[in-house]
This record gives sequence, structure tokens and C-alpha cells, in this order.
Amino acid sequence: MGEVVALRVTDLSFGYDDGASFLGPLDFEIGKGGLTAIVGPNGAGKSTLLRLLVGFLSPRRGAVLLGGKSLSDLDLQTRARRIAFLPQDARLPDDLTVRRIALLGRYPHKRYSLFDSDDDLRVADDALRATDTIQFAERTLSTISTGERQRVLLAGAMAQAPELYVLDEPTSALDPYYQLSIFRILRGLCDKGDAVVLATHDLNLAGRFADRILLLRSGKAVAYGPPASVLTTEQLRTAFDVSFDVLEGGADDCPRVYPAELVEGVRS
Amino acid sequence: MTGRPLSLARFSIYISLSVFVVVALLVVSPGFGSSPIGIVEAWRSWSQPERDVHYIAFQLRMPQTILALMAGASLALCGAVFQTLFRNVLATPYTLGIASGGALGALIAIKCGLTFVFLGFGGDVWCAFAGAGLVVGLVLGATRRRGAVSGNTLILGGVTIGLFCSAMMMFVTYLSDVKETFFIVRWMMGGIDTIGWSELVRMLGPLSVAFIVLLYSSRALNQFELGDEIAQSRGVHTGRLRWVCIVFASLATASVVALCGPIGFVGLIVPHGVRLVVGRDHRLLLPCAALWGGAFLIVCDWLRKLLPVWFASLIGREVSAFPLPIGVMTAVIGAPVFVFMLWRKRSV
Repeated sequence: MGEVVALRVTDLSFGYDDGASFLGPLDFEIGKGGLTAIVGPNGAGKSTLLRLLVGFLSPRRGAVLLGGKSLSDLDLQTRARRIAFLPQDARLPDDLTVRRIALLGRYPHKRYSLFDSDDDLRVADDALRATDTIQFAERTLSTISTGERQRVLLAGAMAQAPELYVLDEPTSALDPYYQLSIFRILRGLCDKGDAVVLATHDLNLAGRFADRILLLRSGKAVAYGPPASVLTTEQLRTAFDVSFDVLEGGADDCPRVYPAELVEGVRS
Repeated sequence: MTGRPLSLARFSIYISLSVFVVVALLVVSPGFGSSPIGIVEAWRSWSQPERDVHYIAFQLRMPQTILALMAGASLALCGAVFQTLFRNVLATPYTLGIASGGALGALIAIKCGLTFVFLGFGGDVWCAFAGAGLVVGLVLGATRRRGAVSGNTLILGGVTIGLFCSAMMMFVTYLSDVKETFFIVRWMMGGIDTIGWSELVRMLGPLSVAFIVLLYSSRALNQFELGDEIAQSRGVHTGRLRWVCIVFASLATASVVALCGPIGFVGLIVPHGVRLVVGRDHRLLLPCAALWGGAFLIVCDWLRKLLPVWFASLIGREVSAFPLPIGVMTAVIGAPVFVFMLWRKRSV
């Protein structure tokens, strides 16, 4: 975990319209060079929290501070140069080419320039190389697999050259090869000093690659901290209504968790 | 081709080629029409305003060609913008009901004799803009759910309100006398039978404003293709951009509809064809769609004048030498292309 804080969330709560707050209050920090995973059951508020972190939604109370400044005080362009976001179900035209998606990531850095510069092309191609998709550069999205497509989207986010990546379930619907490859790319970004926060349902990959895990249930934090302190039988049971088998001391000395039984009578 | 970076050289090649085609069409256009006047003869009469040839070439044909250029460019540009805004290749000012709303507004202005001029725009343009704006408000108001609009729902809403506006136009026609009815029916077929230059000057203001705004939005529209959330995360004010584009595309559509009546299919097929050649990059797509939309309507203008003449010589008999309505011509070409597009969409 990096020493410097990239994003700080203080007393954050959120609710739609006049309804009761269904998220928060939450307090946590995302360190520079750190990977934070947000896990929890469906409807726990993971995606809502991510949208608060990028400023799509305004908190009812509390604040999201980016480099010490409230997100609401930063204009959209400034935010775009510092935070990249990938939604869970990005639907792109099939005839967009891979290189073009990477080049589109340069938008926040080119306010008045109409044309793509050599520098834009270099950054975009570097991002494609980092995600191992440069060999598809001239191909359209329709000709590559879902896993490759996800890496291309990630390349677009990397071309944005942000300091914080916010990703909503970047490995959903991917096979283990691509899941692992995406997490390795993200880990590489953290090693270079960027911060990553993502929502995921894969507890084992979160446990292996994340520095911190935020475990949510019904908008409230069940636990927050290093994987070994969050992925415990008791806390997972509280969050998911499932009893888990937790095996200590797996690869990289992180716990392995397996859903064992439903806790009957909790959910209708 | 669609994914290549946009350099100054690539941009210049495509734009120069498109401009060359449009200029070439403008140069030869005084020679095309029902009366056989050669291109050279027409241009020879340039400095001889007393000659009949000069009147035909530069007071009848050239203004009609320029009007076709302006109308075609506007409709194709608006079509390209709407197709991106609503992520639907079938979205145009017509399928969204905006043109029908504008036409109904203009028709009411014509029927009520609203000939005032305000801020340089005539009463028909203001009423067309009001009609188009009302339809935009109705369609978006009826189809928005928590700030989001589904493309298909929007098209369905637009088609429904467009049909309602068409029915109201028929009702206005029903209330008119024979002379008015003839004028209205001909206007609703789409016409660019302008005489002289004053109408063009009147259109220039609203179209220039709309073109500047829409072309300026091209970079942000590129981000729109990635979805609202990614576009927003890249610094695009998606809500603001959507409204600005809708308002100014409606202004351009209303200006065209007020003068030419509803002309279908240009906004549908031209952006699609141009997209196949230059790709999806709006920095290139929008200006090229505008230029080729203008070129398409100029060619349709020639065909509508020449087809009756050709047909007459083919059957060896005298037939009406009246040019066909331009809306009929664009439909004859556009409908088969549109069906082909639907067939391709099904096969994808």
C-alpha cells in the first residue's frame, strides 16, 4: 500500500431523491499505488459507491476528496485528467477499431486540438502494448473476444493517463485467463504509482491482488482493511448470507474462500 | 480505415475531395435542367444579365442548386448528429418527428399568414422551430426515465408524434381552399423551386449558427459513442451536449423545412454511406456528411428536372415538363437504400 492518499472518503452517504440514504456513512482511503477492491452481494451499493467516487452522483452527506480537494470543486476536465472510469456494461459500436478506442482516451488532454498528434499515438500504442492488445490495433471490436475487448477498454482508460482508475466489475463474464490477465495489468499500474479501485464478485482474486478490501452489505461497510482481515468466515457470512470455507496460506499468502452453504431463512 | 488517427493530411484529403465534388457540381449545375442550355453557354451569359439564358442559369438554376446544397448539407449533418446522440443508425430529424413538428409549425404560419421577421428569421422559421422544439420536448419528456433515454423508445415516440403531426397537417390542408390546398400539397412533397437569392440569404443565418455549433461538437460526439458514463468520465458534459445538439439540429431542420417542406431520406442514408467510407470519427464524418448531403440533393435536383424530359423522349410523346418534387426524388432513391440498410442490420 502506498503511503500517500489518492482518494479520501469521509462520512459519505447517498440516497436517491427524498428517500432514505441507502449507502453510508462510509469512511475510507485509497492510497497511491494501492489496489482497493469493493466486494459485497448484489444490491450492496458497489456500483453506486463507484459512481460517487468519480463524481457522477453527488453525496447526500460527506465528501470525496481527490488529492485533498473535494470532487465537487473540480471541473469535469480536471477530473477526467485524474480519474478514469470503466462501467460494467460498456456497449461500443462493433466497427470501432482497437487503436481508435485507445486514441479516444486522449480526449481530456486535447481541449482545443482537432487532430491526433504523434504524442497521442505514442501514448495510445503504449497503452495497447501494456494490455497486450497492440497486435489487434487495426482490427474492429467485432473481431476480438470479450476478454480482449475488456483489455482494449482498459487500454483506452490507460491512454487517459489518470492517477486513479475506477472500474466496475472489469472481469465479469471473463474466463480465468482474462480475469488473471486483467488483474495483473491493474497490479502493474499500481506498481507504477497509480491507484485502482474496483468492484468485483471474485473474492479470491480480490484477496490475492488487492491491498485493501471494502466489504459492503446494504450500503454499509461490514469490514475494511487488508484481505486477511476482511475475508473471514464471520464477516463473509454477515455480508453474503452464505457460510464460506476459508483456507489460510494460499498462493501469495492470501486466504482462499469458497461458498459452502446458504444461510437459510435470511433472504426471502 | 475507420480507426486510423486523424492527421491534418488525412483530414485535408477527404475534405478537399468532398469540396471538389461539390464545387464541380456547382460549376456544371447552370447547364442542367428542363431547357437544354450548355454549361459553357450558361457561364458565357454570366456577365450578360439581359439575356434569357442568364436568367435561367443564374436566377433559377443556381439558386435552386445552392438551396439544394444548403438543405442537403443541413439534413445530412443533423442526421449524423442524431444517429450518434441516440446511438441508433435510424435516428434522423424525420424518424424523431422533429421535421414533422417543424413542418406543422411552418404550415400553420403559412396558413395564418405569419410573415413577420424577427431577429432576421421569418415567421415560418420561428413557427417551424417552435413546432420542432415542441416535438423534442414531448418526445424526450415522454421517453425519459431518470434522466436516461433509450434509443428505441425515443424512435418509437418520435415516429408516433411525427404521425400525429402529419395527421394535423392533413387537417390543416382539409380546412384550406383549393388554391391553398394545391400550394400546401406541393410544399409537403418537398420543393426547392426557389426563384432568386433572397430566400437563401434568409436561411443563411440560422444554418450558419447551427453548423458552427454542431461541427464544434464533433470531438465530444466521438466520446458519446462509448456511452454516457465513459464520455462523462472523459470530461464531456453529456446532458448539456445532448441538449445543445438537439436544439441546434432542430433549428437547422426547422429552417430547411420552413422553406423546402419535408424532404426525407437525406439525413438517413447520406451519413450512413459517408460513415462507411470515412469511418466513425466525427471530426471527419460531420463535415463530409454535410458536403455529400449537399451533393446528393444537388444530383436529386438534376434528376427531378431531367427525368420527365428523358421519359418524354423515351416514349416519344409530350409529357408534363414540370420537374418532380424533390421529396419524391429523394424517396425514390432513399427508400431502396433504406430497405437495404434494414436488411443488412438484420443480417448482422
